[in-house]
Amino acid sequence: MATAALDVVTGSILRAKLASVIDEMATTLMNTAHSSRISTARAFACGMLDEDGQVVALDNPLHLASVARTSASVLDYYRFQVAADDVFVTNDPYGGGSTVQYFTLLAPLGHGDDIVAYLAVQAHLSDIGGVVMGNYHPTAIELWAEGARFTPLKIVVDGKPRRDGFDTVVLNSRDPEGFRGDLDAMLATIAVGRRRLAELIDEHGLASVQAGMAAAVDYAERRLRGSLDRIPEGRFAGEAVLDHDGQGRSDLAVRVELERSGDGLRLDFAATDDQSAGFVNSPTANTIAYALLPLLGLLDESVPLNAGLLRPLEIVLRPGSLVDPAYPAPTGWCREHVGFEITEAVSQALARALPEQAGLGFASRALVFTVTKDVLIGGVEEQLGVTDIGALAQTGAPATAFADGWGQPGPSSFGLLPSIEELEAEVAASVVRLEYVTDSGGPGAHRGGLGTETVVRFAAGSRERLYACVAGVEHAQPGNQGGHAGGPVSLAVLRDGEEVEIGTLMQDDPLRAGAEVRLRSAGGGGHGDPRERPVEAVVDDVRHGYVSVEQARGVYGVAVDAATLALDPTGTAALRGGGGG
Amino acid sequence: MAVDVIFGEIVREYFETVAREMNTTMDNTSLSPVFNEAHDCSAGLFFYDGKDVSLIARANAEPVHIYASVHSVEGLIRYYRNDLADGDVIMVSDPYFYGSHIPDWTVMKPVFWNNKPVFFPGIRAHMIEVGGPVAGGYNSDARDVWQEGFRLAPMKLYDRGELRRDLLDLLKANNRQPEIMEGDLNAMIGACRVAERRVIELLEKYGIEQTLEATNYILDYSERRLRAAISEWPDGDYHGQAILDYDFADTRDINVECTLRVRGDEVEADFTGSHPQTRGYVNSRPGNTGSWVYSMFSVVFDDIPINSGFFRPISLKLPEGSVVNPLPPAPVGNSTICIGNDVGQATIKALEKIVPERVGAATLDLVVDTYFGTDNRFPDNPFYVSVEYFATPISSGAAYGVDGWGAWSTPHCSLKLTTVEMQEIQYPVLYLQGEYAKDTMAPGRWRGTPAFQMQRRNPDGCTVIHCIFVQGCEHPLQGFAGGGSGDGNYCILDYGGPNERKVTDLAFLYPSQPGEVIFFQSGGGGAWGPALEREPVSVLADVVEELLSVENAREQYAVVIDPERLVVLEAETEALRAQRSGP
Repeated sequence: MATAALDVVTGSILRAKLASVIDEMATTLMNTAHSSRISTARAFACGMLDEDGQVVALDNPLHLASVARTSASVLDYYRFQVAADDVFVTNDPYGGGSTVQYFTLLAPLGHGDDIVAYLAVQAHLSDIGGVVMGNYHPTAIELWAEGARFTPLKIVVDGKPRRDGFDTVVLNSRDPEGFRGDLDAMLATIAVGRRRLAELIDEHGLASVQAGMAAAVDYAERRLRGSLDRIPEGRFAGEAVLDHDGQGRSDLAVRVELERSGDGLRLDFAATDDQSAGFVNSPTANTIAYALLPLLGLLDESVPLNAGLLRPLEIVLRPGSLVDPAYPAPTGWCREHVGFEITEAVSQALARALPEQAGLGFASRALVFTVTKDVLIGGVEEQLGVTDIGALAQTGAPATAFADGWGQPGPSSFGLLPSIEELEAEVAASVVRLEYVTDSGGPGAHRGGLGTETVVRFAAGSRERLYACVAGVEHAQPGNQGGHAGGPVSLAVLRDGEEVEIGTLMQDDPLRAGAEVRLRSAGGGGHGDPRERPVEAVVDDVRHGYVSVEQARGVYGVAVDAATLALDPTGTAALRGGGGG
Repeated sequence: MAVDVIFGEIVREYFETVAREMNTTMDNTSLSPVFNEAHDCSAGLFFYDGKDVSLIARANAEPVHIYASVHSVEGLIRYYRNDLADGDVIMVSDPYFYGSHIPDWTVMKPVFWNNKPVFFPGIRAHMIEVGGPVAGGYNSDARDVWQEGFRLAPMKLYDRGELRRDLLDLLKANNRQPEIMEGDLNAMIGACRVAERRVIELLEKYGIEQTLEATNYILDYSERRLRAAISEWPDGDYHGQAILDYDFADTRDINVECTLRVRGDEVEADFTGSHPQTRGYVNSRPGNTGSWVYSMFSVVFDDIPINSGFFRPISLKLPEGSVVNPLPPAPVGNSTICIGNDVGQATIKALEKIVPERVGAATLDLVVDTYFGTDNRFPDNPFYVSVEYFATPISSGAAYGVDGWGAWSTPHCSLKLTTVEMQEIQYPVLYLQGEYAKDTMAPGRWRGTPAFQMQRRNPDGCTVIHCIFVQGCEHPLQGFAGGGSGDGNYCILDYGGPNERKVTDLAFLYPSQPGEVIFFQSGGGGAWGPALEREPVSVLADVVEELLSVENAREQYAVVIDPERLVVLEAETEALRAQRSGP
């Protein structure tokens, strides 16, 4: 492969142009997909790989490792059988993926007689069979109960779709129209990527483009290594605990130790608990993806997402553990749990090494959704659609050393906020409340972001069945450097005037007219001693309703008049100036 | 078309031999005892004239598979009509894509002659493991077809002679026993290859023209014979009914109605009035329904060869949305037997009204027990899935002039029993009992087969997960012409233990413990003719053979037997019978 030395400016320009190919792919996908998970929640990634299968450009950090590993798995399988107009498809969690909902299309780009690059699209598709529509099956104990598993399959050969391949994939979906539509959108995305990259090669010449790719990867690697230099010698441990796994186990721990290894970093997960019987197991690629997130916080957005970020990392996993499960363990929830725990454990460890980096997080969303079920002749049930209630809940971002938590944590904010109108148009329900929860932001010198309360009321004619798996009730987002934990998650169903708390999980529960689902999301952890939060900021919080008068007094040591919401300087001085704090 | 009858018959027997050789190949090269012991598969030779697909020969195929195979092969040919080449091997399993239930895979290979596909050997086999949420493929919790397993649209496994490795690996990726599946699939393909060779040898010997003439003769012969036979039947509507106990969800007493409308030399089997499709997984796709109808006719006309010519005078009317012709995505997993059996019984009960002396127990009321787990007798605790054929080996009953005997009813005797020894070697099971039971025969002039009672025990250290689905307890196999019904099926979990429990419908994912014993009764088929017309000496023979007690000889047959000397007391018997027959 040509590695002509590039000057910084040219390298930078090419890097940007490669990124714009990715952008155009993403726009194509969002504009042509059927599913709002793709167009709104942006649960996808577009990627470009070089001729050796290294990721050189990517838009969504949550998918870096799985695009890399899935592509490697596919290319290895089809070694010597890859042609320029082929397209491959796979969703295999044990082939570099994460969960069966995520389908990857990989396509080579030919130039002359050679294959010089690959384009990849990885997206969350609506349904691929299994027991529960949408493929989140809280009591699955085997992968096959979650959905059909597609090991690598060639579905376009020499530019022609392979009809039987397509038909078998689509046949396993309860939403054949939407699913096929999304596949077609992904194919169109691939086509756009191929076209633009081919144009780039025509414009700059193959050697330059390849040099640009190599430079982009080297750049990312260099930047990360540089940032890792800030980490002192020593082993830094982190741990995060998942409440339960839906199969009777509680307090499942992900443990990691960070240690400098040359100018790289070793992340040793060997002390993580054994894999679960339930759907919280994280396959290797998913583990790497979520472990990487806190490290991205050491960088800024000028650093491209590509294989360079993976090179400095040595990730040690124990086979048969939660973070490297054995097939056919189910994995359906891994992008939330134990994905969140993986990120949190690394974040904790990193905060021990670099206290100022504490609070780099990821938001674990609640798994709360409804399936629309129709009853046909003879009582036969048809699962028609899935509505993601959990997406309405905004988890609070943790506070950092330099800012309050605000909105959702970075990596989780890739997607747009869901549309309430769209939801209300699709199901017989209305969102009657969606607002911040007072006092849910973890107190600290910098306050954690607030959690939200979402209340959805179901109307007459509701055909919805509730499914949920709840975590974060027992283990809230912890604070850092003296900051307090954020508010916990809670889920309750109001039915016939009675509110019932859901502690672990719920399946196939019919929601009739008047029923309400009440979901509280987690608040972000606070950073630093709350009693060091500037008084004006606390008063501001009280005026905004983020912090109650009681919490202001009791935790922050700031006295605010309940009636006027004015600062009471004397009272505050007594609280803060006096003992303690 | 003047064809030499002798030549036609030679070719017929040749084709039947080809089908038989396919079966033997399958038996000898498959890995799973479901095939190499129980022979739960069917080979057929099909013919495509450019318009229609016909079954020409099927040797000793399992009737459940027969018509369903035609359906599947027809579907495969339509799907690939613009893309079929020499060296292709194609397969399908999806119930809503020309199939019946997911575990039944049909593999077919087109035989080309002069660049055109003419003959199609195909083999249909019940794969013991097909992925999906439940090992063994019987998921009574399934409420739609996606919950039943991995769905397979028509797929080309070999494309112009080249294996599509990625497709094979995909099948293995959705299977708990991928090596066994691959071995069995290779056996199926091998069987098709053997058939291809034989067909080409025939074509090389006689040429395509003569072979096609003989083929048409074969089909026309059966059609002609059946039409002639049906013409002798008085025109009319003849009705039969059968009821399935339970759909394994929440519906009981699911009725299947069959009205045979005889008009001239044709019959329409009209299932109007049958129960609507059900929530539970007993919905029968048309291919399956058809199989059961045609196999009942084959019993009545046992000397007419079974092929598509035989099917031509019989049309089917299957209301959409009924349990015999469901709409997607209704679940279908158990329907090959539960509802299939009832389709067969309803049909033969209708035939009883036309030709009572030609009917008898000809269906299969299988209690499905798929069991799986890890075999802890071995250090590596291998995972296994198996079917308990000994739970349910009896469905034979009486016919006119013949007492019920043997195990499965005759048309289903292409299915063989696995051997106890092989089962005990390959799976963690020990059989403690397996024998006919006394006083369980359907009473009649010709009596039904005795029930089979069996006990199996788990070896030490072995927990076994069972999926047990009982049918024929509330509604056992029916008798004919006044004969009694069979004794019915049931099982008893933890037999003799503290948690002993009789199961008459369903025990799903039941974990039996090490040392636990499970008891099964498999009732026999119905009897023929009133019991009071049975020859007393035959009743005596039953008593002597310990199949019938002296009490029941009296109770059921009004035959009085001296218990000491074991002789019929003729005077008392005559008197009792006169009294019973009454004014």
